[in-house]
Amino acid sequence: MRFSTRYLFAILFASLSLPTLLSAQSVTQQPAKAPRGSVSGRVTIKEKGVAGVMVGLRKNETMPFEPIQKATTDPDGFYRITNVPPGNYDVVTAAPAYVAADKKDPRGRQILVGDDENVEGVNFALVRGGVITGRVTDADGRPVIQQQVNIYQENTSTPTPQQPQRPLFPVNTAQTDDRGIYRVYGLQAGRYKVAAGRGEDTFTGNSTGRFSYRQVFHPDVNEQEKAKAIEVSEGSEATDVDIVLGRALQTFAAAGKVVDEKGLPVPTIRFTLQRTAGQRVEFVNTLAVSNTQGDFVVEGLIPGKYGIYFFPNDNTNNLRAESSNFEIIDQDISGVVVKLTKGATVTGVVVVESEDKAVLAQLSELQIRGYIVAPGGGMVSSSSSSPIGPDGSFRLAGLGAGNLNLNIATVNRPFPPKGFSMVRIERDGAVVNRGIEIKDGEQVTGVRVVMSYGSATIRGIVTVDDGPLPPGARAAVRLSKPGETMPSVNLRSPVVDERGRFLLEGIPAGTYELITMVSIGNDPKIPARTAKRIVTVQDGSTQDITIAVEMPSTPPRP
Amino acid sequence: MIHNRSMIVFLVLVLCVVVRGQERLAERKTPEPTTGSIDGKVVNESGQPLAGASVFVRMVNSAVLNRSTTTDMDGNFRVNGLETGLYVVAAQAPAYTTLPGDPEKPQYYRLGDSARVDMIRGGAITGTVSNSMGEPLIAVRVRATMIRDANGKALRGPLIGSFEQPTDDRGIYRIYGLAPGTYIVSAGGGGFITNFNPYESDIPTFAPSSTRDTAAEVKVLGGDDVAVDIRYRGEPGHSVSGSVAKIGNTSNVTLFLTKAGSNIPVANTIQIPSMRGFVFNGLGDGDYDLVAQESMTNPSTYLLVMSYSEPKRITVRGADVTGIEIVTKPLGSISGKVSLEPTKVPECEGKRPPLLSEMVVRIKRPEKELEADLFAMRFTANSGSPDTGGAFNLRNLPAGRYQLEPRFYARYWYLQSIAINGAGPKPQRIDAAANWTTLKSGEQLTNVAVTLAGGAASIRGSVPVKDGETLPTGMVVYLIPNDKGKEEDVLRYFVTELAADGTFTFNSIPPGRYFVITQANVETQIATLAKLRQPEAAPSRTKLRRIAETKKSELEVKPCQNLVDYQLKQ
Repeated sequence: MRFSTRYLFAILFASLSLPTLLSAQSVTQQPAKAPRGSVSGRVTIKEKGVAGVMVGLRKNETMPFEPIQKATTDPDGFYRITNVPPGNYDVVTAAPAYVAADKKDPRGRQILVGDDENVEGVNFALVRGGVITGRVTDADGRPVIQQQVNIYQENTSTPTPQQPQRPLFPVNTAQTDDRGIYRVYGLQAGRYKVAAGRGEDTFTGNSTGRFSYRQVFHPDVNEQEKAKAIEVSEGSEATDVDIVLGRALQTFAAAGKVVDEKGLPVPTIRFTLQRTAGQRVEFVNTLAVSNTQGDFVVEGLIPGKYGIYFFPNDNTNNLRAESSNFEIIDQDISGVVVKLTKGATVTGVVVVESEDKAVLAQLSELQIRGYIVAPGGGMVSSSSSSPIGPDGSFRLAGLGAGNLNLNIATVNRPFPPKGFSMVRIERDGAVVNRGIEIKDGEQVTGVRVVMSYGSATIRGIVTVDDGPLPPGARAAVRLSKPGETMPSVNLRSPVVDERGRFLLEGIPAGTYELITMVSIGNDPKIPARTAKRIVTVQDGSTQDITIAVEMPSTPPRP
Repeated sequence: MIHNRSMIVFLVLVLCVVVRGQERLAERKTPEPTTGSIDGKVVNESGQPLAGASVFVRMVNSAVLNRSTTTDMDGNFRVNGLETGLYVVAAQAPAYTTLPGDPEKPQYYRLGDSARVDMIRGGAITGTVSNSMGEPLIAVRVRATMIRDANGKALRGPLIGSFEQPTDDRGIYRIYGLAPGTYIVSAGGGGFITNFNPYESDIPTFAPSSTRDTAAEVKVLGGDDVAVDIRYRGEPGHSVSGSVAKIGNTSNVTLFLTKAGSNIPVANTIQIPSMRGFVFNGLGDGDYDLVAQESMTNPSTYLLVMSYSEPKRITVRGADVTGIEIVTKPLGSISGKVSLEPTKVPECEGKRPPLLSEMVVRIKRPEKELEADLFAMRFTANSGSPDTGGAFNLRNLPAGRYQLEPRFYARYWYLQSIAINGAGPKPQRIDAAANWTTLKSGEQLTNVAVTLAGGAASIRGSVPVKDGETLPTGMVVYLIPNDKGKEEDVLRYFVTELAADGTFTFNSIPPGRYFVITQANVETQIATLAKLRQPEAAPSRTKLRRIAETKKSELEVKPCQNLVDYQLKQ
């Protein structure tokens, strides 16, 4: 049971992060013939080849659980991954105790592999990473077991009261063992702060049914700013980085009733809770279910503001909870009423700008998904998905009030098939590409989602001062339609690899503006440079372009 | 485990009787909804309270009514707002483990009960994994798999109860929270999901540096550290891949690989809807059996609907095996109805009927079939709960022979009959209490009638024990029906243990005449109530009857009689 719940959450989070994934990259479909591309290079430590290091290709759209192509280095450190289909890859090494020798040269490398292209010289120079180890104990000196320890990079820029600029995500995490001992290895040289327990402003993870502790940074402070930074250098080991947690946070129970619009109890309604913590929202790792009398109790809640979240496609019959937020302060609460009301519905059609019957037939394999983002942004308060009928019709139900974002994907994968992109969203004829504002219980009709189908390709290369991208440079390319005032909904930005190459596939015929931006390192003194290019493409053809960017020879004074 | 009837439930019952007055409680079908709580304590092996343990209180046969809480600083917990029903209580605490309960004697809790959960500090296996040059291997997964429990009983079935930890940058691993027992420890090989790990396509190396067949056995006692180093062999293995056809959009499939023709687990993997197939990595040459289990959640009840595949023989000989196609088939079910037959005897006036919500119908299978069946009962449900109308449904059952064992809580009621009413113009009525019920593959067997009757009696008695003497252990007392026409009624056979002081108790006895005899060193077939009533025990029952007829110690109990101080001469 616990296992399946974990998966439920994994799947839930995967579906919530769809919009981000969608903007990533187009799907490159495997051609019928055996691909003959390859990626090769060398893995070295102090200029000496390392044997037995696994190097793998991770596709940008690789789903969890999918096998990845890989090879192992020979006695001289050389590797060669063969039979590589064209596409964008992250080339990664499996050498967890090691880090890239040059900070600007990350462990994962982005490479665009062309048709039957042999990409050579994807080299990795590694050094032994640093280690931080210590022990986590509770207020009584007992080891705290299976407690997550978070390693944050020290923030070097001076924080201001307006912008504390704390790093939100740990760079590394570890769990304490049965002796309370943790050990983090493979750390890049630098300065780190180490914490255990729950933080209100950082993603620390949580688990219900166990003690929660307030976040404590080594050596013994609650504030990240006051924490002692641990110096890590190549192959160093910082020991006794101990943390003493305080008393376990007191938890409370919330009891209530699930009722329908007439106030009658509704049994067997399953939901979970979202807790607002600082600027973000976290899911409470527990399921609440109303019993035959509609009553429910949720235990183990730490103080905070909570909201109700229904699982998409659950048997709530497209109902949604009306204003059922509650707050836990310092005692159990009861009388929480989760009133189910008919959610808003959105009906409309998906239209593809294409005459091709084979293209139109693909529509029925697609799904439209809607996400309501609550005012203030960030929090997905409800979501719904609908199949697309043969006539393009869809119906999204059970939605709350807020801004509705739409996307179109295949049923089991968060990406639309190659060639499909969303051109615009119309409501009663007006373009609403920034999302549809929905009121409580509103019945929205007349939504048109216009998709295009394209088969043009742009193959590009970004050069800097007529040469390749300098080390540490990052290039980004954005595609837009010149003269359009509204942002295009779904013109995806391509990944530009470390050689400056990018590929845009399945774009509709037309004229586009390519805006290229190149930045070097994270040095704010070197400003990013942009270049614009206008490109016209036709269906079924490939356009090769070079975008030249010139960098200033000397950094201007700030 | 301690039972305590709390005052609250008692008061509720008293109030029911008062308010309802002369109303015939026995005919009341759905009781008033009441809520209550289950509380308890989680303690460690020395009886000290365990703070911060997760406690799960789950309603039997409900997929959703599963509440969780945490023990306080004194190890106590309490779950409020529970509806009338039967619950199971489980606890989890990091580094601790629970000894598995006797599956024959599941512990159910009712509202107002107090549960005591005993946990023991698990043992740890720790050591270093190094290659042939003695260099440590980093991030190789090390797995400890229990092969025998603390009592030396061999574990069968799919790979569950195995624990994994990766080695750190020094090649050191530490697997903790292990239940006492005998383990084998391996490094490398395929995991549950495909990771980007250089060791996962290797054949696992078993400690100290061997194959599965010559793996060292590691004994773990509670709370101890055992040092186990592994010299990694790094033999490349092969993969077995394929797909489970037509899985539902919400299905999850788990695939189990075992050594061919045995129950020795090799590996598990999964296939979820977003995956096009499954793969097992790191397999050596040999024959294997592959079974797929598909589970889907019913969208309105949230109960799991399961299907299984037939085992498929897979042979690995020096190459990867691809393109395996597996199809799962739905499992069978047994459904029926529990009915209550009240008695009109004045002595039984006002006696509380059993609550349907506090009932389960459990199933039993012949031990031989259970042993032969890899997956039976491990993942499938083994009980069903009647709804408010008494209807019950035991789902996800593989083909085989079954017996039903209803559990209920009402002192003055007894199990009268279990029968299957056939269909057709001349419906045949099969006594399912005296016979195994055979379920064919995928069969939906219906019309099982379980009848509980009012008027049960109880007997508290003793056999004389001389001062300063105690009875030998393993002595039991039998009740054997002595009414004309009831000789073959297996539900009138009872067995109970004789305490060292010579006392014994029988509850929920149908009123009537019985022989009472004591026996020492009885064969296992008639040692427990469930076994005594099995068809296989018929010759033994006849033998018992013959012994009883010569001893002539008879008794008669009247409806709702509590016979106390019954003196049985030996």
